Amino acid sequence: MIYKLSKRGEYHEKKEEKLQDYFCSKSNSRFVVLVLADGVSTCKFSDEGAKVSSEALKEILFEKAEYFLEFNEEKTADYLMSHVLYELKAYIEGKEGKLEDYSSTLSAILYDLEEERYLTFNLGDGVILGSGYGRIDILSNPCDSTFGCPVTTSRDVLKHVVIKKVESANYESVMLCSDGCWKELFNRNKIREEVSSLLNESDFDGLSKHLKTLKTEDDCSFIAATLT
Amino acid sequence: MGTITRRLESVFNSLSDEFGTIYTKYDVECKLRQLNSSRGNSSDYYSKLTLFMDFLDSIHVDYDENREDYDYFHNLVSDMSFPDFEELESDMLYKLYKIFEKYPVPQEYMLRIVNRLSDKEDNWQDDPLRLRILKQFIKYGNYLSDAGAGGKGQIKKYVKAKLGGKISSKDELQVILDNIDDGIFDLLENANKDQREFSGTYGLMKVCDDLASGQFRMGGSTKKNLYLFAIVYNMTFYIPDNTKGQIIDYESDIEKNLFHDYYVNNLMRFLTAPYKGNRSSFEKEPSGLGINYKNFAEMIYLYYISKSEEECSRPEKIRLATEMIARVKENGFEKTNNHLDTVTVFLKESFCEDILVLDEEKFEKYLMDNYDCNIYIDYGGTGTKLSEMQVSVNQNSAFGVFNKIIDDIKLELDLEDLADGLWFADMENGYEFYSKKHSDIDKEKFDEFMALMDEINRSSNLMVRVEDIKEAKDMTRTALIVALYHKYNLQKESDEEARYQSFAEVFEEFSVVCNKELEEASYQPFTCKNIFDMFIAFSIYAYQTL
Repeated sequence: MIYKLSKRGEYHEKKEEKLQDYFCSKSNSRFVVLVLADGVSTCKFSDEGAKVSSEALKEILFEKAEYFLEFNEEKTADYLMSHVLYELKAYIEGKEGKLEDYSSTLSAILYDLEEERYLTFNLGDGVILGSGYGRIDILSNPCDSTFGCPVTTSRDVLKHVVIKKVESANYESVMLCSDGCWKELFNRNKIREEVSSLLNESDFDGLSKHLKTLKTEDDCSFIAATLT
Repeated sequence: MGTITRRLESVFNSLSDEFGTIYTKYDVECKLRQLNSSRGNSSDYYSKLTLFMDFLDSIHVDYDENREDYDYFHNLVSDMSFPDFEELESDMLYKLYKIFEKYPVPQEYMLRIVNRLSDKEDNWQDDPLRLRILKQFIKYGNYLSDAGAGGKGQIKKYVKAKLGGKISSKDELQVILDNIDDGIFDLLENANKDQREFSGTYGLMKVCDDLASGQFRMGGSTKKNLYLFAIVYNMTFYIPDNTKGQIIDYESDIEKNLFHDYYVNNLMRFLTAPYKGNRSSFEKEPSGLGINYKNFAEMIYLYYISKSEEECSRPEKIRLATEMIARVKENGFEKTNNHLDTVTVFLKESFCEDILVLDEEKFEKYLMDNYDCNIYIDYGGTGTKLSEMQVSVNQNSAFGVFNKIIDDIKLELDLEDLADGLWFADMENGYEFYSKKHSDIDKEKFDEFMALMDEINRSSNLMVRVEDIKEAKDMTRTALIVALYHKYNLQKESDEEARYQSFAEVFEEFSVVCNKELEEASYQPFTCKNIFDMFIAFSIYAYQTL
């Protein structure tokens, strides 16, 4: 089952800006793919860029899931990023603006339920979590954005894409969070207690309710899937 | 000037954009001659034409892609204007002048940390930086008195004098915080050496002043101050590859903020006021090691830093850490686990979340069983003592690599032949020359820039490095980079294609060479965030292309 939340941040509401986060998913009895993108607020068409990038990544990951779970990380990053950029460039053909106006972060997880293994793709400051059986694990940390946050249109983007493959995975649920979301889940480097108990029970409805009560500066989005 | 992030991001990009492939008239005419010589052979001509077009692309020269005739390209080249050698050289120096100011001095990193981690409700943001740090130590660290710092008495005396009377003990802390001002630091001006010691009369003020102004002291004292700072600012410690419920918080992470950004060999510190006078009391060069996982005292500080505030308050952390260090020092002089000298990586990996969750007794025992806890220079519990921060500071693997590189270089030439550091070391043109060419050059700033170049040049002199690095404990990240830099330049002398590399390509290639050794030695990777690294890369580029 898939759970989603996307909440406008107060900062963007005041400026009457569109929501720039986008998420999508695709699954069958064997594979689950979740994707989340956070549009760069200073880029005019980043909401469209987030959507195009997410959909492109979702489709390719799902379509060629078995291959990507076998490729090495470098080859996977190159292939996936090339595909996303190809789709973005095709989309903006004849449209207003240049490629950079469609920038976003991008994170994804491809989970193989049958073989109990997964692949994470992370570009930017999103976080990927796995939880279950009394554990909450960070499957992919956010980038260090103190030196600028890398996005889909960054120079040398491949240097910033983080791919991880794990062969023995055992989670009850997985979750992708935008930076506006995970900053509410953590107090500095540790997960908040009230959040911890919700995640341990894969209670994403409860988590959504909790996040909706909070006043958040930034847009707050997550997409999660229960795997059992 | 913008944030540190935006400034540093623009530095690398601007140099990459402006310094693509550098070419001279000679370079282009050589390529054209090759094309001309192949005109009799059709397949050879088209092959050379493709190469010539690639070359024009790499030097960003526009041409008609539909033209194939030699005469067209000959006329194209005839119409091109070329910078001469002197112009190229001065252009490079001018560009470095334009970027050097963007590099932060240590104070700016410290200000960023304090701004990010201060409690907004304290409302101290308008105070000078050293006063903010002092107040933080007073409120959240009990004046560091449990750590043995002096200064509490003087602070109270100062405020009492200011208020002209007694302070009620009921709200003493708040009264102190509301009334202490930057004038407290005037006491340091006439203080003697003992008074400025950590445990001396003005110890706490000295700590705050040093931290705020980026004054790095010898004997491990700066590192100790940083760990205490980390405790009072509730900084976090992230264990790499630990996935369990802990995220890396870049804003509060101790390693990133204190040991990668602030306490490094940041040569910009030599442009700040404290370093323009007598430098004898300053640490010559931070090693660049960051957290020393072989040092028992650092592990104790990290143990307590990793505890939440609910588990242990900040003043408690300071007290408990100090007490544990004292016990381990007292009982540990017989522990001479010398094998630890060679297993830094093992200790870093072992010091994981499993160790951090041990109770205090078990953790202390773990240290006694696995670490060198002896603070005496000669084993036996008597004689000259080291500071606990100076135990196990040998960097054996880095020292080994350094010596190997020196030996490799000596096979090719005498070290005296590598007298200079930077390519720009012997440039004769000064302010008058550059100000005529560029109206935006400020004399004072230019003098600062030349002073910085002197510092970097001195730092990158291999002879000086060999003189300085006699033992493993002397080893530093900068010294290793200098050795790698000279070896790399020697190797590139015979590489004809190297002169056509862009600055970005040079940086990338040298980074790969450097990082292999730097990471093994647990040093921070080669980075354009460090002005020394940046100038070294630019010097390589200049050596190759000019």
